[in-house]
Amino acid sequence: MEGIVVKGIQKNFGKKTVLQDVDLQIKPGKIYGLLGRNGAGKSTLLSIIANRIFPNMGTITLDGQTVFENDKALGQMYLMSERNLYSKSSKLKHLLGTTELLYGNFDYEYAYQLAEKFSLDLNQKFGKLSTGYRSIFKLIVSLCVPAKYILLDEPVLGLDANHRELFYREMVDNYVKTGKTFVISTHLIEEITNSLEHIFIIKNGQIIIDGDVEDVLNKAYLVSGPAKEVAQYTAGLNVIGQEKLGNIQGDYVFGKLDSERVLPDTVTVEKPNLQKLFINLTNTKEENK
Amino acid sequence: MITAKEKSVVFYLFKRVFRQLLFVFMWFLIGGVIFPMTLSLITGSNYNLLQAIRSLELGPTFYLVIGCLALLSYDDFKLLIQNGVSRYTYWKAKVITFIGISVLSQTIAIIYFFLMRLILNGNRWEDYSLFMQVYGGFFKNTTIAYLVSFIFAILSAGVFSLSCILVGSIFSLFTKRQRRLIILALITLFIVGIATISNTYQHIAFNAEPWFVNTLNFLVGYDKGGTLNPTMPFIDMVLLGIIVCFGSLQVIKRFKIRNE
Repeated sequence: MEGIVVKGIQKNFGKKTVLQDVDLQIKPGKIYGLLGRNGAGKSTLLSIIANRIFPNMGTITLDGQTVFENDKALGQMYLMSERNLYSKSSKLKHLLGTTELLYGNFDYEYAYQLAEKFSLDLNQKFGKLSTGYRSIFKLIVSLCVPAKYILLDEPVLGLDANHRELFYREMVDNYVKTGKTFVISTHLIEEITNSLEHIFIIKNGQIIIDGDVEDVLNKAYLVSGPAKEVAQYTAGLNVIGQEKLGNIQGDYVFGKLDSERVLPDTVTVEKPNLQKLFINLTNTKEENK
Repeated sequence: MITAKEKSVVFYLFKRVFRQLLFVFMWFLIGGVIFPMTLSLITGSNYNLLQAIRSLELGPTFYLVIGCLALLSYDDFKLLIQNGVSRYTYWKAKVITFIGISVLSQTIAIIYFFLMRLILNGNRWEDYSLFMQVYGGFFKNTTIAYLVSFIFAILSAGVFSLSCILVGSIFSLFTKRQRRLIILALITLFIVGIATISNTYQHIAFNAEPWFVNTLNFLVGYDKGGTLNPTMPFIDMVLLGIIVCFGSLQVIKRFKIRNE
């Protein structure tokens, strides 16, 4: 089972290249994070994977079969996106019925339980819901649909902190029970870090990081102390960002440290969290100044 | 050969179109029967309910309404792609649905027409069927003439709805703003075109080129002996059906979620 394999994807909108030579693999039974800044190409990539838009170049396969115009492959994926593709005039319970009809084996019992937990009235029409509740409805569908690969594009858009917490709990619970694969594209990295096993960081349409969260974080360091000593210690290393407070400096290093170098007593080395690493990896030169 | 997924999509589309058809039909009844009846009650004018029921034009109404429903494509596409349905499956299911619903509605219209003829002394089919008026004389046997004209009515309704699928699909490729501009351009073109034609041929006799006349004669099945062959309109319809079917597939294959 090789899962979803994305190979050489390129997407242009007019003259602008949004995705360039994107290669990645989404293996079954993991929770992935697709992280990137606004306009980095996350939503475009997910839309291409789910066959909603076409790439200019490249292929996407699921267990060796192309996903383009392939009902069997598309039936194993569910993309919850910011865009509302459900009819505004349809009642939520009818939309669940349509999902059952087209995907089969929809978990109604769980859907009704979740609706109750999120205080969502399924007799309402989709068009009458607030942005937050539209997200909640789509999240409920994504957790109850029998697809193996659940792609979530900004899943917590418009949700309050309590509902976000509830969703993360339900998602992890669902993952443990069903073994589904989740791919989550989000800006709220700190909230989701503990749930992620593997991350892709996308910058300017290219994947710059592809690895297990633990491995990626193991390569990241925050070297801090007096500016002069820190600068001497990190000279020649892959410094991806810097923080300054008076004479105190913090350098974010991504990659191996030089074991030959002696760490001055005044300098400390810590592990940054994923959000800090992400910010420093995706900042522009101007933002790093 | 139809897969389980295709069956589900056909079921979904058929149910949805059938519901919309019933909704429009309800308004058709309200507008064509109940409203005039209410008006006659208020104004005290004569109103003949039997006459109204007898002269209900079910066939053409279904023809038009189903055509209009076939024009709508993007909303179904959005919902189906959200539910993991490919464009090809959507196209196939849509074609099956609209052919099915056209056949069903025209059959109902024909049965209604004849029931009205039998029970309420309603209109004669030959007065309302263009096919019977043009090609009816070809047949020696009246029953066969009727049968052939029914089949033609059903076939033409199916092909009309397929043509509407093609037109609707082409429009679905554009954004709302672009669609508005295209419609505006088409209306302008139509008005200017009509005005130009009427101005030009007010003073000059319309003389079509022989190749044009010959092509038209060929398409309608007219031979030099003066007879009209009813096989030709069938062949025309089938060929047109195949062309629009293929065309709509090519267009639907290009559908994508728009930024709206």
